[in-house]
Amino acid sequence: MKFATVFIIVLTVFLALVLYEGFRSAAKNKGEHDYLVAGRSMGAWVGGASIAATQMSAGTFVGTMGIHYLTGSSFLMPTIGIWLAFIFAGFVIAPKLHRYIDRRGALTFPDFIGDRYGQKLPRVIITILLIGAYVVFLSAQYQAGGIVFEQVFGIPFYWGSTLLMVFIVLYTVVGGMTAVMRTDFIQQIVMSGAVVIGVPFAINSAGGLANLSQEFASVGGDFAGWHYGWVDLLGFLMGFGFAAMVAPVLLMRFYAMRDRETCAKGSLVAVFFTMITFGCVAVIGMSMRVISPDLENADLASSVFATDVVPSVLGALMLTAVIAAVLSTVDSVLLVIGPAVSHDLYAKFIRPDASERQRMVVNRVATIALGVLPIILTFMQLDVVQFIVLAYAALIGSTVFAPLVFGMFWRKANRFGAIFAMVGGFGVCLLWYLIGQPFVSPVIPGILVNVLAMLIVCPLTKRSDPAVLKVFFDSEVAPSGRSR
Amino acid sequence: MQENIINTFGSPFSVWLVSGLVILLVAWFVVRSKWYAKIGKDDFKRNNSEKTESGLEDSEGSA
Repeated sequence: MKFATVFIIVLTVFLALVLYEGFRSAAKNKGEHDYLVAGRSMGAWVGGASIAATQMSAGTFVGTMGIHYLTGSSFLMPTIGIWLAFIFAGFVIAPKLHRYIDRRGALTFPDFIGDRYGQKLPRVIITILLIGAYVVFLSAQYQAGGIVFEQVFGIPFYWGSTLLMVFIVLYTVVGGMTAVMRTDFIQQIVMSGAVVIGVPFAINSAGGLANLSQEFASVGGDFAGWHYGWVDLLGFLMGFGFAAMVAPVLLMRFYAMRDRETCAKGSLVAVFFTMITFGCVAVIGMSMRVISPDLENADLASSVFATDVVPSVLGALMLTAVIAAVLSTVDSVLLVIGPAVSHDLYAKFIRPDASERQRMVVNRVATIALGVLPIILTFMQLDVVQFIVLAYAALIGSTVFAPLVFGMFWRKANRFGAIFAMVGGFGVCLLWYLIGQPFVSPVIPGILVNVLAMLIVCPLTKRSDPAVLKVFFDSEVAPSGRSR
Repeated sequence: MQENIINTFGSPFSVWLVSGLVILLVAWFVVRSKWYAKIGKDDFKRNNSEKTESGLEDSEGSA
């Protein structure tokens, strides 16, 4: 049977399962609270798998595997930053976040910024940033998915990208957060399963462990050693870590989990899945250097592995894992940017008296529109998927870090500090990219300015309203039960 | 076999694997100890020493 036929069968089964789960979840949506935060009912396994699946994008299977193909095992180190970020978010940020959500009935990340720092300028800044950065990021995801279809079927990538877009928007709009997180769980199982099964085939095709060891030595002494220096690795580790720790798209999983204990356990589950998946991706990438040492582009390592090295069914599963990575990331992002329009712009500034039904309609229309918009960017054929992934995460991390963390743990954090921190952090991070990323990853100066702005500006300016501080720091505030 | 894999893929792989296992293990003990539950209650002890910890848990548990 031809590979394309096997891939169609495996992919169809996978997509049918995702669609079934998406529509099944729709029955649980009784309103905005269910649609946006899954009724805050998600457990640790689904929540943790969803965090991991959202973190893993097409870049994990294409760009990251390509980097291991080129440089060896030391690029695993940034994963440690992601683990620490998950643990910090689940054990330190999430408990505070849950207490705040309990009291204010918050549904989106800009809700937090608005409630803590002010409903107008701070909320608008963060909302527009999220929409802008995530839309660009989505274009890279669509492109990666389209390239898989192009390689397997020989069809122009924009057809595949468009097909994926329609599919993801459909089940996301229908099923909301419940669908997104439950399908993320399925997608994470596919991603981890494909690479775990792939590892023995990769090692075997490369001649076994003993042969691999010799071949790695012939590639270069640093291939199974320290290709990157500790400064580079620390930069990567902090870059990935800070970005993952405060990424709104990941924090929304904590909004949807049922309690603090679930959040803590969920972060453990996320570490578990990322450990399995990233480790196997590294092993396969490095083995591919021995199996096919002359690839014209390192990003081809995963697709060549799937089509030429492993049996058709496993190869199809590997490519389905790439599609799953695209789905799990895009659906989560859509449920951040759609509500950003309906909940944080429309309901706050345009029609404050809008009913829940109207907000839901706007939400779905916005999700569809913002799901389609990146396709236009995709058709412009942005070149380097991994760069875009890194840039968007660094920009958001540099903007959000201090306002989120200081806002929860420092009473003196105020609106002026937050605005300076957001604008300064974003600006410096962007500037660092534009001048060619001298010395360190852009997220490091970005976070530094973000934190310094908070530390310098807040003590010099007026403190936050005591009523606001009471919500975030005092224990005797009754839940407000806010409906939006 | 495990040792062979670590030898083959080198010291970064070993450091990464050990780090991951240590993080998982420590985090697991923290979950078991319910230390995380103290986060978010830092003002509780300062402002409400007369109330029990479980009392707060109940009051915060309702969304």
